[in-house]
Amino acid sequence: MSDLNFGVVFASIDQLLIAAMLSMAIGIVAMTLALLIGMIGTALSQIGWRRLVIAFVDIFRGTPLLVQVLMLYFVPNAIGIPISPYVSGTISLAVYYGAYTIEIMRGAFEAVPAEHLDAARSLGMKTSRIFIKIQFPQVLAIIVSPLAGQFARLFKASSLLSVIGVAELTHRGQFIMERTYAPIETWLTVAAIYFAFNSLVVLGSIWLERRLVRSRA
Amino acid sequence: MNQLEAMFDLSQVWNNTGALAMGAATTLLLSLTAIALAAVIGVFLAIVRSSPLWPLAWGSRVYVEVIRGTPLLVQMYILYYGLPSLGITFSAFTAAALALAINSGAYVGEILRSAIQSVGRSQRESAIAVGMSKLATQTRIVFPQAFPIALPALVGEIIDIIKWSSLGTIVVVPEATQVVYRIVSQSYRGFGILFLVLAAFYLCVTGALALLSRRLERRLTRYRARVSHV
Repeated sequence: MSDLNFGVVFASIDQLLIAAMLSMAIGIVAMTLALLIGMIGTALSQIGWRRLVIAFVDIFRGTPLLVQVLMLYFVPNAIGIPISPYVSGTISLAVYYGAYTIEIMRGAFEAVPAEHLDAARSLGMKTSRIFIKIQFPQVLAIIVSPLAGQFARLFKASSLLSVIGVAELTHRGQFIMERTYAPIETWLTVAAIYFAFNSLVVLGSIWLERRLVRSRA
Repeated sequence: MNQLEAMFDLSQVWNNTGALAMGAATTLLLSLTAIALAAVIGVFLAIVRSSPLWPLAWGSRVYVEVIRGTPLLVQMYILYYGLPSLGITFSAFTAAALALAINSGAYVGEILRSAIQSVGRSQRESAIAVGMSKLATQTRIVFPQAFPIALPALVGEIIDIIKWSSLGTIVVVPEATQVVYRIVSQSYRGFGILFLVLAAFYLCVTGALALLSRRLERRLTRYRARVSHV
C-alpha cells in the first residue's frame, strides 16, 4: 500500500485538459454528423425506404462500437485507402450514434397524433407548412432530452478512439500513466475530467431543454 | 484485386475455428458474469434509493451519477491498472467483468427504480386496503406490474453489456474481439472476413435477445389484453 501522489499527474494537467478539449471537439463534430444521419434516415424511412433504414439501424446498433472503430480504421488502410484515425474514429462515432438518432427521431415523428396532420391537411396547409408548424415543434420537444443523453454517451464513448491512436483524453491518460508510474492517480484524474465535462453537457442540455420547451409554450 | 482476395481469404476463418469459438464462449461467459453482478448491484441500488437511511439513499445517488458521468473504459483502467497500486490485483477477466457490472449496475438501478415508481399509487393503496401485507403488496402487486415495464430496458442493458464486453480486448481478455484482433495482427490475411464474422456473431446474439424480449414482453403483458376485453 503506497501513498497517493497526485502531484506528478497534476504537473501534466494542462496536457490532460487540452486532450479533453479534443475529446469534446470530436464529440461535437460526431454528434453533428449523427444528427445529420438521423435526419437523412428519418426522411428516407418516410419516403418508403423503411426496410433499408431499419437494416442500417439494426446492423450498427447490434454490433459493438469498438468493432466498428477497428473495422473503419484498419480495413480502408489495409486495402490502400489511407484514412487518419481522427477521421475514421469520428465517422465511427457518428454512424453508431447516428443509428440511435434515427430511432429517436423516427419514434418522435410517429408520436405526433395522426389527427393533427389530418386537421392541418383539411385546413388546406401545405406539406412544408405542416412540417414547420405542426410536426417539427412537437418532434423537437420529444427528442431534445434523449438526444442530450445520447450526446453525453457519445462523449464518453469517444474514449474508445484511444485504441486507434487518437490523442484524446484517455490516450493522453495512458501516456501520462506510463510516464509517471502513478496509474490510480492518473485514471482518477482522467475520470474526474470526464465527469466535469460530462456535467457541463448535462447542465447545457437541461438549459437547452428548458429554453426550447419555454419557447413552445 | 489480390489485396481484396487476401482480405476475404476464408481459410483464415477455417484455420482458426477453435480460437474463434473459444473467443465467442469467453464473450458469453464475461457477459453472463457481468449481467449477474449488474443485476445484484441494480436491485440493491433500487431498494436503497428509497431507503429512510439518508447516507444509503444519498450514497446510491452519488454512485449512479459518478458511474454514469465517466467512461466505461476509464472505469476498467481504474480497476485493472489503478487498484494494483493500492494492493488490490484482479485478473483481466475479473477487472473487465467487474467494470461492466459496476457500470451497468448503475443503469439497471435507475431502470428498476423508475419502473417501480411507474406502478400507480392507487395499486399500492388498494392492496393495503384489502389487507395485504407490505411485503405481499410489493411481491404480488408492484413487482409483477413493474417487471414488464422494465423488461425492454433491461434487455437493452443485457445487449449493451454483450456489446461493451468487447472492451475486454483492451485489457487483453481473450474474448471474441480480442481473438480476431490477435489473429489479424499476426497476419493481415483474412482481415475483412474475420471482422465480418465477428460482427455477424454479435448481431446474432443481440438480434436473438431483441426478439426474445419482444416475445416475453407480449407474454408478460397478456393480462392487460385480457382485462381490456372484458
